[in-house]
Amino acid sequence: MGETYESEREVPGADAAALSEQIREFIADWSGNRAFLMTRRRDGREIMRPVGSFLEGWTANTITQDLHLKTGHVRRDPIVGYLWVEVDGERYGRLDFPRNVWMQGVAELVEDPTEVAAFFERRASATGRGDAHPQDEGYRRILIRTRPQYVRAEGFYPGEPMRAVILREFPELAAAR
Amino acid sequence: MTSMPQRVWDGEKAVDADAGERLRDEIHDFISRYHAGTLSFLMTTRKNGTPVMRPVSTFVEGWTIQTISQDHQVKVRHVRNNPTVGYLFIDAEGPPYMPLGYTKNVWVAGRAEVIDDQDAIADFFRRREAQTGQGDAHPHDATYTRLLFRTTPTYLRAEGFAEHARPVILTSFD
Repeated sequence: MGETYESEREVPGADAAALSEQIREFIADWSGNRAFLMTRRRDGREIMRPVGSFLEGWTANTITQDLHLKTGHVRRDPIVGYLWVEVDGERYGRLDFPRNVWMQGVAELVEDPTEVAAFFERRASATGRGDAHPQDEGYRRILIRTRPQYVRAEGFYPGEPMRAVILREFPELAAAR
Repeated sequence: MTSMPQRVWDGEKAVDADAGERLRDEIHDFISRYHAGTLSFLMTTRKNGTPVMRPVSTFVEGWTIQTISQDHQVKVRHVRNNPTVGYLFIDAEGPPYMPLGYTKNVWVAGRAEVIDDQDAIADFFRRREAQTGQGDAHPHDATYTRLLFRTTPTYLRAEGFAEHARPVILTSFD
């Protein structure tokens, strides 16, 4: 194939595995990126919106509210996706993109208030951010916990940043099963 | 940056249809900027039914969102198998509208068709070049076939255009 193909094809699996921890640290750096969550509506069409995300290992956590449509979406269909886009980073490639990571995973809803409170405590100790709206009693907090099945990262491969790094194995999750 | 109202929900529920209509042109202008400070990502669906997203170039005419692809790319197979696609547009440099630092963003769900006709694609490159200066990005590489995705929106969600974090929803695109 030609130079266009070569500049964009997936990197070898061993190279992807070697970049895995760097990619995980990138998506875990909540102040250095913006996160968007994709869920599916009742009719099967996807929808995406900005969210906060907090990583624990490879598990992505997002707080939602019982009032939010995305809570119903995840309850009906646990397939979700996250996109993380770097803020203020260097740009790469022909289109001047900042580094970006897509994660497709399976989500569960954690509704037990004790577990949700424990999550806020863990997040507050790690980031200084606990419950973002402690004075509002008008809604119930629910935690969306997502475990990845597929990760695609761009901007990470040294010298050839347009080539996608694909991760399909997450050893830490395999060990936990 | 604006402060949030006392009740979280009041700052997050969708604006009514009339308020949304008043923002329609501004949202259209935003997604039509052709990478002048805008980032765009395309979602397609893999054979196993799960979604995947990657950065792409977009050129918008009317409400039709267009992306050039190549015959060897997996996203072409995805769209031929399942024409439901989505685009996310993000303001790369604008001011944040909420405390987490988010800038304007627009999600567009739609149906894509794959254009194979090389005359139509050459014509697309001419139109894009006339408007943006960017024709075929790889004019010297003859090793692949150019293909064009043309997506007609069915649903749009925009944040950062109305007050607080309230989304604008549009569902008609005439």
